[in-house]
Amino acid sequence: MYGGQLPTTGFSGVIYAVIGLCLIVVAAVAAGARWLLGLFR
Amino acid sequence: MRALRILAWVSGLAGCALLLYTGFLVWDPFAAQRQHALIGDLSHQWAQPSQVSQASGCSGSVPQVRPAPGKPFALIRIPRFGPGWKFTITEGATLAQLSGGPGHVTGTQFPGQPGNFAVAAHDITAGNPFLHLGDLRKGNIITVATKCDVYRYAVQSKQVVRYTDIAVLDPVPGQPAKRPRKQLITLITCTPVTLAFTPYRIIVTGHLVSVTPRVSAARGGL
Repeated sequence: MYGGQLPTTGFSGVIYAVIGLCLIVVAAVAAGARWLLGLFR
Repeated sequence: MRALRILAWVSGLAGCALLLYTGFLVWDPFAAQRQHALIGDLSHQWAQPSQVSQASGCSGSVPQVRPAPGKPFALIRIPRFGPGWKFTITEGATLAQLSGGPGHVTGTQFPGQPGNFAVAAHDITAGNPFLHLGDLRKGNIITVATKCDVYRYAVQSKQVVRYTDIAVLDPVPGQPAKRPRKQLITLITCTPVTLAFTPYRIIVTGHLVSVTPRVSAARGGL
């Protein structure tokens, strides 16, 4: 019965939120690095 | 510098898009539409006389025809969740089948049969059917209407188990070898309410307190 498990009833879209947050962090780091590089030019 | 600028813009936009998409999945604006279609399907089915009897298709309290996977066959109401709270129960409890609303766990009994009628549903998405399942208390009523009858169950217990604890689905929960005499209902959803997978399920079990013929069975009304 469902592979010996109770049915999965949770929200499966959390992976999109995790990837989205990671990308926003990457964007913030890139923007910060660009700003810092601009300071020392 | 240019590469950093492009990276910041692309990842920032992609990240925001994914967060918006997650919000869309949680909000699930088409859930009501899917549920409406299922109710229409059920209404149509109930209006049709089946092969098992002459007039309304009701030849007894035990369902004679097994519903096809993904097809609605009953309507569940839980008054504690509000007078307007009602969902169809479809056959099967895979992720796809639960996207429309609650689903009957295949292999467990049907209403009217001795044993355990298990119904699973999402807490979040698909109209959030079992979002407040944990609020049910002993004695709360769960009503399941089939084509012929209305089954009233009273909540008798509530527990949290791991997702591997399938003994709660036994005809006599936890006693697989025992022959069932009572008619039970088991409602299942994830707990705690979270936007992530959780290994825990909240299990609400009720016992049958009454069966009455569905007044409008012959007319197919809901």
